[in-house]
Amino acid sequence: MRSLNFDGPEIRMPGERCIVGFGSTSGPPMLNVLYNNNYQIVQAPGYVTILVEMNHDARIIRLGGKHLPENMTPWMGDAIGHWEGNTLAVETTNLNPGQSLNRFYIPPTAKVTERFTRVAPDQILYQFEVEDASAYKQPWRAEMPLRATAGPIYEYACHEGNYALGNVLSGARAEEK
Amino acid sequence: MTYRAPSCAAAVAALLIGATSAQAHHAFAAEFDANAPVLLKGKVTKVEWINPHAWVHIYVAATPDKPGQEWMVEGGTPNTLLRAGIDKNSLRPGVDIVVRGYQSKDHLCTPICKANGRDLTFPDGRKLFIGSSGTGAPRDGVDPNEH
Repeated sequence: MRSLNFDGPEIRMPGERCIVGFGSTSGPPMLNVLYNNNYQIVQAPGYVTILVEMNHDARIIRLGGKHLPENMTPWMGDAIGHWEGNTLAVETTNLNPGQSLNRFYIPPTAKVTERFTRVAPDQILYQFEVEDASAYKQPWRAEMPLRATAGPIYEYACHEGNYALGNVLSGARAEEK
Repeated sequence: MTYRAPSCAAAVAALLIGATSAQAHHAFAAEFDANAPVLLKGKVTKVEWINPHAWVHIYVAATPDKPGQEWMVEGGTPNTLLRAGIDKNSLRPGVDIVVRGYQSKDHLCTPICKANGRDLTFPDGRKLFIGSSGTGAPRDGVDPNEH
């Protein structure tokens, strides 16, 4: 089990290495963790960008177009969005295998479809569906409201003081003695 | 949702997914020793106001039995501390504090001893919880967010 393997930094979870947030904060799907559950949505011609505070990740969703070739698996996958009335529908594929076990098992072959719909001046309904015939007999769905917050989003430069990674490995070496 | 495991390894992984999130950066048990509580009294020498955790450095003065020793104590995340009204000026170098916490698993003090901080007590008796709720730290009654 990978998370119980302390052989070296590369085997540790992406969240410990500050590559993406632990849990499934940027996902997709985007799920809450202990803190930093804040998003900044920026709309520009041809793109919607979601800045995820945990872990200073920017999901760049292009509006229209084709997915990347199968052999390209960026962190957070490849997202293409389109508008259905007032709902932004986003389809993400090409997920990176390193993110498969972040929260739920979402393999690189999965397709995650998210829907963002403003339902009130201060609320967006966030819905998502995960489909993968190799892992799940049927697609599964969940939803949660995203509520507007007055405060700023802060930089979360996770790795600048990431003593934890070194300490975790050092602790494992100490236990081996 | 019906889960169909493609292999034994994936089935085991799925069962342990609840534990996986605790094995991420916030795993108390991976880094600190719940059986090594510490009580440190000394002066703040510096505060590292950094991500993902703030670290408070404290110098514990020598006593007849022990030489002086510098410790670094892990606190919460600057983002959450800021949102709770604490900033890097809340704790200034030179202030005397008492820290409760748990020592790092490796027990190494080269160059500095390390601990996970639970709370600080100021000379006027005020307490400040600096731990990280929900990370698997011992349930020692110090966390005001624990029910």
